[in-house]
Amino acid sequence: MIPLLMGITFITFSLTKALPGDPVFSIVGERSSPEIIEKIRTEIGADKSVIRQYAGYVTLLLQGELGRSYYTNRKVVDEVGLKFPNTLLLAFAALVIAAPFGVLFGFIAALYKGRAADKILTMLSVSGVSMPVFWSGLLLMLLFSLRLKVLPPSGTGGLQYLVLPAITLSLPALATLIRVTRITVLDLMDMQFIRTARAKGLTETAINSIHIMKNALIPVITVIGLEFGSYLNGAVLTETIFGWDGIGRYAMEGIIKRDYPVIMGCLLIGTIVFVLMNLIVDIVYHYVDPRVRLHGTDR
Amino acid sequence: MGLTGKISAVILVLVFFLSLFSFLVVPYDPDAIDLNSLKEPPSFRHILGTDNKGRDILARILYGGKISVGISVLAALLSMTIGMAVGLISGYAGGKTDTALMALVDLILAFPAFLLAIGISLVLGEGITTVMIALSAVGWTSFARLIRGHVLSLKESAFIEAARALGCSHARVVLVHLLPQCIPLAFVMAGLKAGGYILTEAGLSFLGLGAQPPTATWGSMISASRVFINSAPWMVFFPGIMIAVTAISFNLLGDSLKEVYDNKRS
Amino acid sequence: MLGLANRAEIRFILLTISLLLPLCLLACSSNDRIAGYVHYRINYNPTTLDPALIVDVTGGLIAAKLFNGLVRLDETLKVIPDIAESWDISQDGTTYTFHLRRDVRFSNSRMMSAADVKYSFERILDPRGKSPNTWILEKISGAKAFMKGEDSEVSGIKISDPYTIQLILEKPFSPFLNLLTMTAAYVVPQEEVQRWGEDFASHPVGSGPFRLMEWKHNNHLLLDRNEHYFGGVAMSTGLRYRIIPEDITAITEFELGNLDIISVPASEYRRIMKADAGKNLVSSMEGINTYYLGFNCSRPPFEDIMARKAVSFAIDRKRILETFYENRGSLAHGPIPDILRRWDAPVLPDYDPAYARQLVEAAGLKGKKIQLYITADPEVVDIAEIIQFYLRNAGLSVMIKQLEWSSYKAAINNGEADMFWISWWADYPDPENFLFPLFHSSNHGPSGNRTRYTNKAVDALIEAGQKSSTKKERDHYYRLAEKAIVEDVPWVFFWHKTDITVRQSTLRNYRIYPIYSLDKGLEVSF
Repeated sequence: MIPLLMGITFITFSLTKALPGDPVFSIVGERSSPEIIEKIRTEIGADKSVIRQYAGYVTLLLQGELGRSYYTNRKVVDEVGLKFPNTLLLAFAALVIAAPFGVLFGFIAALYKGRAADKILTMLSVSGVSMPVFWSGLLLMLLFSLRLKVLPPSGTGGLQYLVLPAITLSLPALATLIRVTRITVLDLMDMQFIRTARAKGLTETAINSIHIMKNALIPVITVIGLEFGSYLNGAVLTETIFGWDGIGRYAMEGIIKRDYPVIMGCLLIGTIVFVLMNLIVDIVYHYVDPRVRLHGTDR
Repeated sequence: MGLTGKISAVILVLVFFLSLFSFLVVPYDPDAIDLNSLKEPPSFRHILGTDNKGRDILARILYGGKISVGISVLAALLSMTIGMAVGLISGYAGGKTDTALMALVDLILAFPAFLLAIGISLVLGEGITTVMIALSAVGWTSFARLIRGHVLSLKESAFIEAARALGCSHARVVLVHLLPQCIPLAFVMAGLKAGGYILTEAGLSFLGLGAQPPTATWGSMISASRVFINSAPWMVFFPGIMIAVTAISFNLLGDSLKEVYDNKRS
Repeated sequence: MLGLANRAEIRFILLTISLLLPLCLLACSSNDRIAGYVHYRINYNPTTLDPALIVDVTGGLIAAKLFNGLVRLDETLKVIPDIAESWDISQDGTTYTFHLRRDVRFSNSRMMSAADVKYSFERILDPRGKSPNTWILEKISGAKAFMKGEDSEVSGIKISDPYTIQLILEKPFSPFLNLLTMTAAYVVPQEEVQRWGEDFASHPVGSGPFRLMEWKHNNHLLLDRNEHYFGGVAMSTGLRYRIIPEDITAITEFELGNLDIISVPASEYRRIMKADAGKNLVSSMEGINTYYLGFNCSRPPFEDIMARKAVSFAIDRKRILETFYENRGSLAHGPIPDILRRWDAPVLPDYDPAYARQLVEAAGLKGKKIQLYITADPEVVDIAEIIQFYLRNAGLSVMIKQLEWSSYKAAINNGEADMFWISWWADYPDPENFLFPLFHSSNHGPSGNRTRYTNKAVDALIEAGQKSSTKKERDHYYRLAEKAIVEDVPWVFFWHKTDITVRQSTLRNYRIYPIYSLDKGLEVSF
């Protein structure tokens, strides 16, 4: 874990130094107080060896100095602290849409393999991962907000503002889940222990709903976890389209204005969250893996 | 190859040719501004309508396809090459080299791909080459992992041992014996990756990090048309359809190739 | 299998219903208003509401509701009393004596006096404050010394009694009163500034017709009316500024009735104009601004007047204004907006592509690569591409270089661009503001003369106008200056953008002002 964090911070450090302009201004803006600018310069100034500079960069991070916006001079950590809950909410909502529908449809597709339902769902799932989120989002906005006028086109706030961006963000994950669930269920239907269960005389219904679902959940949980982390990717575009005040949109505004401290701050935080998500998925995976249980290993 | 695979291949070839020979298909210069025909909906004169400067959308889509598809394909090939090289070396050499290279792969994969691509694009400055580099710099990792895995399984097989026994140098073993075994697999992945790259390139263009105006790319066309979603939705709709169709085709083609490959092996 | 299929279907139906149900409820709750408040839209979160630091329109328009200056402008752009109820100007034009009202109260209940004015002005000039607006008060004698730290106060600001203050200038400057109407010259209470420190920017306290009750960053600002305002209590209960970055959303919210007035976004202009037929809810006012294509006159190729003329003949400004810009502006006949020009406008030559081509050849420009610098604004990109297209037809090869705002400003201030697209908005409504900063040779770079235009004759004319004491004299000099400038073609003069708003029919007494800071928000209500 630590080496990984070191590697990540080293890459963001290198990128920060490589950005056009004075590297100090890739961390704080010109409008910062001279003391702060001096402090940054002492830590990562070019007069030292690269290792020392990197150590200085990490020191700044540990002090919570993720940088200050070039334009508003507000601390990036503070802004992220305010906006991150919004992104979390959006990601969670997208998950709530993608997970049940994805698993359900994947299950149905596997059940009706080869028939119309399967073919349609497969086509839909391939489309789902092939559509750019900013496009699907705009079309949803056109239909529901501008033509049917049942939902607001953008903004941050209650449920009504959450619906469209959550649906938009959920589509790629939904599509992936359909595929993964379908494949997993199909694989499982062939597996040894299912045949054994069948031989034992359990009813079709029991076999299907209990055993398959439980086992299908493992890769599905993995995918859900990874997709959740990758919402940080899609969030940049989705939040921008829908004016949702999360760190995705914050990063986007930073990109447009070339507000390097903001962009680098968001990259670092986004990556750390991503890494944490993967870690959680790993832990859940180990906890939930029934193959271990089936063989009776004590945990 | 199944029917879907064949259809996808045909669609891709079609997109390819239409982009290259767009001047044969549409009589309009994609950059030609026509102040008399602002924001016209699709009609016989302009099949997909015009944008807010009177430029023909079909012409811009085909012209932009050169860049969008071109970048994605080139980036796929580039990342395939880099990834294969790393995967071959890592899998064959094993030991510390393998650990080190795979650690690098893990490190890059720890980043959310899109954000990392954005970071790289900012450092290199906007432009087509930048996007290609950014896509490849992040995407080669999947190839490396895949090829390495394949090499590991092949390393112990009979024909490799025979080659070593016959005194072939490491380089010869890798290049002449292992490489050809990996190419089909790499191409399958390349097909799938290209589909993803189309979307990432569109995203980067949308953010203004790709080709600069007046050059059209599908992503930047959608970005520029965002404000007209209400008054001229066709400006947003058609470039997006192109992205989706092309990405779907790459994905389905990749899937078909994978099936063919799996069938051949079993 | 049949039993299972039913189960799956049942589950699906139940899930769908449970998700659609809340959706229906949402559709019913689309209301986002606070009764009695007039709802406005702004498109970004203001960076600061401290008058000393405000440099943007949004900050300025809100500050106008919260603060007052010595003087302000009325809708005819005449200088009228605000905190000062009267004033005298000395014969030589250097000493301004202001007699202040005695009933001006800050929202913390303290009464205002001359000491507050002196404090506020010195605060702007204080080198530790880093205010970007020092130029507004720099002309006061002793200001420069104070700014350098050589003096502990500004000698030219004299208080003779609690309600009389004198401002002495280094030399006469006829638009000086105009400078005092600007945002930076608003008066702030010292104890509140000291209490809040840096946070005064988000907790402004002033004497204005409204006070800031709540500021939810990135969401809205809520202003309540000041019941003790010396200029009369506002008609509305208060104002709400909703922060909505997306134009489409602003229009939708307006059409849902959640906003009372909005600026009409360009992308929706046609539709809104059509919908307004007969209702008369759209207001428009020619803005005090000029949009132009500037040439870098200090180096090739555009140091050659023939090259500049070539470009100006090659572009059909009128057609662009009528078609692409949908007549949302009025064609410019020079740098000075029509609303400020009190003499006959210069006559600019018409679009002549054939002649343009000839000039391009003659100036040796054919095929030469020219860089056009612009900001990242989508509308500007559009205009740049149109210009690029016209110039292509004249034989010129133009490359568009898009930069984000600060890099852009730095680049054109340093003279890096061959051509650039930009606009100049009036700091104060005087033709001098469209001549001196933009064309006087002492202002090359960030002060305003980004084309690096130098013409000694024009310099002399502008200076003469600044020193004149009568309007007639001023106008005489300014007219000659404008004529000379137009003949030199340092710019291609495009248009003066029209400010267009649309309001709800329930809103009363709405009027559109030529300058945003004129609007104190007192009359508007339901």
